[in-house]
Amino acid sequence: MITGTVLDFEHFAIHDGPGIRMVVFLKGCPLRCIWCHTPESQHREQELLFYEDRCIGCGCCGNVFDKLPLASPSQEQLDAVSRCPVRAVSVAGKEMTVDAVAAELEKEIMFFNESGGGLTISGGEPLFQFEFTLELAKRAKERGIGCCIETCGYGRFELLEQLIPYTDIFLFDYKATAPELHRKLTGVDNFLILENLRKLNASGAKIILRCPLVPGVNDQEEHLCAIANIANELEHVEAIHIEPYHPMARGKYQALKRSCSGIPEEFPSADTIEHWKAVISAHTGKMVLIP
Amino acid sequence: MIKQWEIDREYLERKFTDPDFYNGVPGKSPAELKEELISLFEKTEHLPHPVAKAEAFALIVNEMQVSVSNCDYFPAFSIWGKKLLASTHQALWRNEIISEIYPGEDAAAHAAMAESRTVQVRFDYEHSVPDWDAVLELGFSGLLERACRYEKDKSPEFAAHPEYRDYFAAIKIEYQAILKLMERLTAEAAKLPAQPKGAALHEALLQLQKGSARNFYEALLQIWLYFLLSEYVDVIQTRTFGNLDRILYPYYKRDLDSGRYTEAEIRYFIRSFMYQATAMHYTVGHPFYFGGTNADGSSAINELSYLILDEYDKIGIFDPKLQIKVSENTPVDFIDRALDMIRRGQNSIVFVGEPCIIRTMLKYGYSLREAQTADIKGCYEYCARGGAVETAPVTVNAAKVLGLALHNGVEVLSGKRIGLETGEVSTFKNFRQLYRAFLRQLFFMFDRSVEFALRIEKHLDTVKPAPMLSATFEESLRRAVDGYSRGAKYNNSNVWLCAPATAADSLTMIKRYVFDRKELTLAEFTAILDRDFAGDEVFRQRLLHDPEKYGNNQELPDRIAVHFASAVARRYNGKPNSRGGFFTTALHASNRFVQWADQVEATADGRKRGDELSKNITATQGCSFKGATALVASALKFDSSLFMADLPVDVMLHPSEVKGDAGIAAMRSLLMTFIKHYGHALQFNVMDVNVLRKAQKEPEKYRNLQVRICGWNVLWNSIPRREQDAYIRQAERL
Repeated sequence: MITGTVLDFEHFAIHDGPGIRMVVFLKGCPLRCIWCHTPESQHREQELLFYEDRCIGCGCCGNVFDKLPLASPSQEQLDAVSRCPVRAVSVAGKEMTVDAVAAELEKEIMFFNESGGGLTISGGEPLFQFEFTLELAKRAKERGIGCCIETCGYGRFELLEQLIPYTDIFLFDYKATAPELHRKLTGVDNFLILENLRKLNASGAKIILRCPLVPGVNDQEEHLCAIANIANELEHVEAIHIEPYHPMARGKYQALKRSCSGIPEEFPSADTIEHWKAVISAHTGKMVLIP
Repeated sequence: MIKQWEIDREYLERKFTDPDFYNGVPGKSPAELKEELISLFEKTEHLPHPVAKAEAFALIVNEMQVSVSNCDYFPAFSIWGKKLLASTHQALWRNEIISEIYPGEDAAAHAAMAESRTVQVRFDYEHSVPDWDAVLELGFSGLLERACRYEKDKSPEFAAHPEYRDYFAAIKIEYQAILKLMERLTAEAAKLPAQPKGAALHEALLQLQKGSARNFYEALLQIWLYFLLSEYVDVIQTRTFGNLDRILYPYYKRDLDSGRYTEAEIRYFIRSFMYQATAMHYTVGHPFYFGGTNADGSSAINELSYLILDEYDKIGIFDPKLQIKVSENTPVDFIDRALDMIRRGQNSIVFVGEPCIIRTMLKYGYSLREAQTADIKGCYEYCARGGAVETAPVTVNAAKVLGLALHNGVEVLSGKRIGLETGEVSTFKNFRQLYRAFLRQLFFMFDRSVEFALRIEKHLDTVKPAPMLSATFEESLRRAVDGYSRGAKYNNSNVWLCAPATAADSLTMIKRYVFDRKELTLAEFTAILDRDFAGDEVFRQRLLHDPEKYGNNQELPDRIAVHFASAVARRYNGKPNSRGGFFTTALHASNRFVQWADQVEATADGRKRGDELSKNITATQGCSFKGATALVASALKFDSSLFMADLPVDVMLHPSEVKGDAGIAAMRSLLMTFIKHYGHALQFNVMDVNVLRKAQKEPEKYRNLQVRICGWNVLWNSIPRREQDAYIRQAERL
């Protein structure tokens, strides 16, 4: 029985593929993007998030979260999670079978059918738990549920290739153009990612480019132009989605007792976002959307 | 045009809100009229109630202050908002028979049940709809003439049934008074300086004195006059203006084709008509509805539907309430337009499912055409068009009933025994025994309430005869029986069960913590509730944050909610009422989820005394943890054909969840999934920045508010203060 470490489900998701979708977030990612908005998804192992501002100091947990590290939690900590009356602490990561996740999908199939929606497997990075991802995508296909894979593209192409028959659209991240900058921002360069993107395109798979943009970090003019250029180059790239940076994950870093620095504290302005869109649109005829 | 509208709008506001508006206007003030009514009551005490009421109606109509203006296409009546007969004739007649309804110990029993907010049993005159087609086709004079024809037919039976004579006499008195009023209004309009509105009003009033409406404006004026006189003089609420797009379409088309009115003029009439409802600031709202299905199966949405919706949107009003009857044939662009209005904060729109209505009405023996043409009325209810007088005499509070099961039938706040002795909590060895006690208490409360309702409803037409309404129903005329007696073709009564989610969540928590986990005994849990969680805040927080709550598409709480609600429906649906109809069931809270909260002790879902109860079949506030799809899926577990009275669900969304084309498409898909799976009524609430600010101040009241961040949603309360501030700043920029 194949199991996976599931971070979370998002119901009524409408910007991660067509229609109403259920997004399954898996744990584990090979990249370490400095703006990552789901830092609790990066490690494959279970982690704890402790939101101190929600803690009412009741002591039900035995105050074990102050004393011990939150990564790879002890059994003592895991036991204490359920004792917290206000859910100030939560466990990121739950081992689930494909059957169990498929059962969750079944509950929402009527919404998928009506809206042309379905399942989106996201992360973390779905390739990080490839067997689980493949099996889940197959299961969705068997049930007539559409499937999208949201990927950073950093993995063996053979894995992506196996997913193609079961995937309607790949939501493929494109984060920086210059390899060195890419390495600086994500921890890896983008050679393999670009190679996979081109191979995926060559295979005929439908692709939407997902482009996180962070003011002053990766919104250089040449990157915006490069987004448009690669979309033009790859015939199966159907659209470009701009994913404007948001600072909402800062609390999560704090809850994980991890630092986050070097990224803005504010949302980009509407003007900035429109500027990004305008620059990209000026260089491509493909659809540029801000989901 | 814009400048003119500003002037007119200011006038319309004053017409309904300025206390000095009627100073110096000829006629008697409401206070003077009240004195006269009291005096008249004594003089007419010997008369049959319909006739005595009609005389009172005539007195008001003949003497009340009326005003017309060149700023207004509609006349003004000082009687507006007063409902004088409710405090004179109706109150006195009600008092006369109340001891008959609650004899002996029943009076104290009913009082204890009602005061504790466990049940409400009432004389309900708030859910009837006139036959709008007849009103427009015949006009006041035509309605009177038709009544006279039926009077002639029925006259041979008068000796054996003198009440028939009284019935027709009352109709004649009221409609003759209305026609006299029309003369008075016409004369007033004739005095206005020659300006377009005054001239149009004069001409229209002249026509409506002698016949029916000939054009769009006259039709609107006819509807408005009927509504005002019924609602505020006859004191019979008119719970919808009808499906205006269908009713008015022939006038609209004819006027445009003939050049009688331009589209701009028609828009102005609609705008003026609707703005009056807004200016009234009427608490429960006057609705009208769009759509439905034509006899040929096509959608009844027409170009007038778009035009009305457009005007409503343009002037940014929240009354009248709008209902859209939706089926698979409803044009997508019309639904999308409405959804777009909703996500811009226009929360007065509700969608009602035609597949549900048709399936349910067919099940209860209505014809297909009756089902296809059902009127939507009130909040979300439906009834056969032009032939139904429905009432809602009974409401039972499921949360209070669970309290009775936990206290062996004693209402804990008063210490009075109002329920059955179903056993001390210490005797319940398992959840099944508690649940059985809950069901027994529930049925007992309904049985008692229905018994009282059967008595009350025998007297509805004694306390408040409805000549004006009755004359619109041909069936009533044929029978010579008041609409609130057995006069309509369908005379059903609704029983409402409120707070089902609060009760289901509470039962679920008791099962988990007492019987499954055995963390405490039921007696201990009950004692905690009796203390309103004093000293047990930590435990309360656990209950509040426990995710196993109704509305999240989970097995246990949803099954409990559906089970007891369906058990109630099966027990009372089809049971004969005392008006020749039968009972139907609703899961409807109206505003009791707030109004009753202070009298509902702490509940096992973590709710403290005074906190609001759950609404309709929506998750308890703050407990929709899995979002809109899960909530709708939970709601669809109820068999809507069991709940003919109504079964509404409220879906709360944040603007960021529904932005862009994808957002509209998702809302539409959610709605259409609901409609196609026989969901009854769905209302979206899309929150704005002001709500976010309130949510930050009072997070416990907004625990199910979700925020769309980028690729996912999170619960508002799950993000720290600093992020909330950032989000508010972003929302302010929208």
